[in-house]
Amino acid sequence: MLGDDLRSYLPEHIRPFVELLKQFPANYEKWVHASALPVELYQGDVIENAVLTAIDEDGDISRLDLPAMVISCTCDVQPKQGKFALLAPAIDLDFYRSNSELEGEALEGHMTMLKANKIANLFFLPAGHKLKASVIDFQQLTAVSVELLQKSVEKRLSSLSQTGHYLLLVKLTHHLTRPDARDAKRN
Amino acid sequence: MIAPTQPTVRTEPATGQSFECWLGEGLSAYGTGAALQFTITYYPSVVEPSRLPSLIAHGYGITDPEAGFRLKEGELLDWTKNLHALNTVASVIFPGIRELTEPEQRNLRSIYRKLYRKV
Repeated sequence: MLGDDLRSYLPEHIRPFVELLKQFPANYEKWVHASALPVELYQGDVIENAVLTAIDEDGDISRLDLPAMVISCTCDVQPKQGKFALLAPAIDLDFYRSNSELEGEALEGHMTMLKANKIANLFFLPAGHKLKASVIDFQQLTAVSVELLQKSVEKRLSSLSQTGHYLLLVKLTHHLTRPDARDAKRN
Repeated sequence: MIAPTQPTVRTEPATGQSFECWLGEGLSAYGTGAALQFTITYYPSVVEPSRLPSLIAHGYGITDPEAGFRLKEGELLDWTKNLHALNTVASVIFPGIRELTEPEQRNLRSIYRKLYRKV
């Protein structure tokens, strides 16, 4: 059976939850979030309000004030461990949908793929704790001072469960370490 | 200590013994100083295409005194195994996973235009 093989690929601490992963995305919202917010800041936590930036095609800097997910590893976001941490914007799913230019079948198809986490660049996170259902964009990362980030610990919206964190790692790995396309030739 | 006149019992090469013996015998053919990395994978038959390959063993061995300057198993195999496992799991639990299409990327940019403000 597929599940028996899948189990051998999971780290030991995730193996007891193989059935949850086999059934994904069914019941995803029930296990992705931690049962309570931890004391320390963890990779995958969503903070309430972050200052994010982007540089557009004209070289102009734009600013975005949004909830954001901690993408850096947990050990790199602890006090005095690192200078900067990577954050990804968390866009409210309702805002995402209502401001979408896609229409009809294209929009429905996109939302279905998004909620099943079958779009590699984006991570769909259901509502949990104080967080509304959100879209995390792995393409739009901003480096933020760890010292500043630590001030947001009390203003977190959500934190991932053990299996939820594993799911984030699976998607991040797929997005960042997939092989180059065969036609991507280098000197 | 074995007396010189006493015959010693020597087992035959590991053929026909346990898998570990067979593997050890095969690997011992590599001399001192040789760095050897191997992966043994079981590929299911074509009649069960839905099954995934099963990783049986990873191994990495170096016998030379410069080994301390080389990549260690924990750094090399554990990391590659971890990446391999994460990517395999991605293909299983997100079947058909893909990048954003061009229209979807344009759509995302238009959503950001409503969120960003110039500094």
